[in-house]
Amino acid sequence: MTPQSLEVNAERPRWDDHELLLSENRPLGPHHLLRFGAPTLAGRFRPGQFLNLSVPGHVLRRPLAVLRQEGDDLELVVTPFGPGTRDLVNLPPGTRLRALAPLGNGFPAPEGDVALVSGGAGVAALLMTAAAALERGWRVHVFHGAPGDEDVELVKASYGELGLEVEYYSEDGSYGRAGLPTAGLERLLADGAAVSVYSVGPYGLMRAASLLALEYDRPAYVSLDVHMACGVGACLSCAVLTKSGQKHACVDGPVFAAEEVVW
Amino acid sequence: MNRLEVEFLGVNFPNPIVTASGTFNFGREYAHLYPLAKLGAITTKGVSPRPIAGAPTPRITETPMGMLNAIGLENKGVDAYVADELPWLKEQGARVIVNVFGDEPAHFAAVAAKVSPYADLIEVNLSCPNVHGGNLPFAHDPQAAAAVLRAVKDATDRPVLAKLSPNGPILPVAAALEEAGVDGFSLINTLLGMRMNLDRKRPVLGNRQGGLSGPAIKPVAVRLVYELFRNTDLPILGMGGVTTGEDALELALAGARLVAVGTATFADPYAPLRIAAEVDRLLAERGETWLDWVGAAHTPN
Ligand SMILES: Cc1cc2nc3c(=O)[nH]c(=O)nc-3n(C[C@H](O)[C@H](O)[C@H](O)COP(=O)(O)OP(=O)(O)OC[C@H]3O[C@@H](n4cnc5c(N)ncnc54)[C@H](O)[C@@H]3O)c2cc1C
Ligand SMILES: Cc1cc2nc3c(=O)[nH]c(=O)nc-3n(C[C@H](O)[C@H](O)[C@H](O)COP(=O)(O)O)c2cc1C
Ligand code: FES
Repeated sequence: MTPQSLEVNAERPRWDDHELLLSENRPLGPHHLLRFGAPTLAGRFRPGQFLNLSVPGHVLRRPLAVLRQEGDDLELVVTPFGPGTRDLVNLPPGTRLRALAPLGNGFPAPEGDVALVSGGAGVAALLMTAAAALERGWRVHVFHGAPGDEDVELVKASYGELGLEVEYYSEDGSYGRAGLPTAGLERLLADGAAVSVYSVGPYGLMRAASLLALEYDRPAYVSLDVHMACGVGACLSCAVLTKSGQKHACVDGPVFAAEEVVW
Repeated sequence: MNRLEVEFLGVNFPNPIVTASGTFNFGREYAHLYPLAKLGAITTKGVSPRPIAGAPTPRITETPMGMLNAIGLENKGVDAYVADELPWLKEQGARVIVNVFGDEPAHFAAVAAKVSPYADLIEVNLSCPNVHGGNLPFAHDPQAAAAVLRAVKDATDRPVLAKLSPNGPILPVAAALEEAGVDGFSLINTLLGMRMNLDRKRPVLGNRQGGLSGPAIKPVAVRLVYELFRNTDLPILGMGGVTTGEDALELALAGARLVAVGTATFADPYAPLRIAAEVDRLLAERGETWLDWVGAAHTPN
């Protein structure tokens, strides 16, 4: 699919510009959980879709995954990174923002047991898939990686709320197991688990998880993090090279099958 | 009474606010939000003779009150657009300004000839490198720019605008283009700039440098439109950082008969219509029309 083929894809969401009211802003270690009232978006997001959020004083919006939607409320996880996300996590409750949403294709629904491999705020893009898999009665294996113990609260506030057990990997060995979460994935795959692999996090993590899944002949999906301006297919800033040519992450993705990506 | 109506090179525009090239693609992405015919016009993404894959990512990054882009002129090539997007766009009832470019005069002309049936106006992007002229942009070489313009004029019966670059002197280029028979001007294209990534100790953009757009460049746009207006009788399509109705009126005072909105559309997809409505309200308050404002800063006190 290309941005030009918008109208032939009935699956593509009819996005619009929606108002969001910040109701809660809670630090989770280095991350922030932002809760918004967004009545016009109730029930609109499929797992893995994102929104493009305004930040007061900034010229461009910021693409962010939706962690959870409950009735009129939706939650995001924001990791302060540059000027825009730093300003975003400092906003007080009561702030009104605008979001282009819902955007992107989202993850395919799980059709069996799944393995989730996440790093940092990548959790946000995966949580709705975890919930969907549990609802269908599939097993959900979670491998989360971080440099140290900084993601412990994030993992509790997300996977923990679903009652999921998380295999936490810290590179410095300060929490959970020492090493990378792909070690856990490799063990699971080597045991012959018939899982689909969903991975969101730093590029290196998604690449390693994808190559492992492909090696064991398991389906795998990633959500690619590409710098975006419009978020809707108009500016062509979010180019991704795939085996079937150049695509644009905001409309053809952000979710891609691992075997489609030129790693 | 329609305060906003404006005739530009024989084409009637219901309002003077058009989209800027490269910021609205061919309109399809926004067509479910409002009828594209409500816009003054759509300026298309730049079209070249053959498909271009574009620059490595990251292709955009935000800067203080602006953004840098290095999309690398990605486009599917003229044949794909003539087969698909341009006929569709005309069916929407929209007025269409087709932005064309190439790496030598004959290439510009070939594109212009193919898109003419769908174009109300043709906008020639002179900021791309002149492959046979040391890769200097056409816009910085009066003779090369004039050669492009003559080739395009020979290839189309549509009015032709030359899009000028703010990265060099504009008046000598504008004079050469006028002599070559250009019908009007559009300006400004982006200002070259860079942003560094402190962790990687390298430029943020894959292409290293990019074009600066957005509110940060508006004063430059106002100055260059003003300067050009003093030196030409041809009509001007002005742009650069327009985000509000006040911004559009500033450009009108400087001399812009039409005004394009680019970067502002990324933050607000309704921006071109909102700005037109704001201009309408500001004019209504004063009992004036758009045309009362075009070039009004140049009238003697
Ligand atoms: C589909 C998608 C979902 C995302 N979900 C989350 C999430 O749930 N939580 C979270 O903390 N982060 C998420 N990100 C990354 C987040 O968008 C960037 O960290 C953020 O845009 C950086 O903005 P900044 O102002 O802090 O940095 P700056 O470098 O100042 O950003 C400047 C510009 O570049 C763009 N940009 C810079 N870095 C990135 C990046 N890594 N990805 C995309 N655009 C970038 C910004 O949108 C902005 O326009 C997601 C990115 C994408 C593409
Ligand atoms: C992402 C992006 C892509 C652009 N692509 C083109 C292009 O293909 N051809 C062109 O002539 N100008 C292009 N431009 C320049 C704009 O048309 C406009 O001249 C400039 O951005 C200033 O207006 P603004 O500040 O309102 O965006 C592009 C600008 C942006 C931001
Ligand atoms: S972000 Fe503009 S095309 Fe994807």
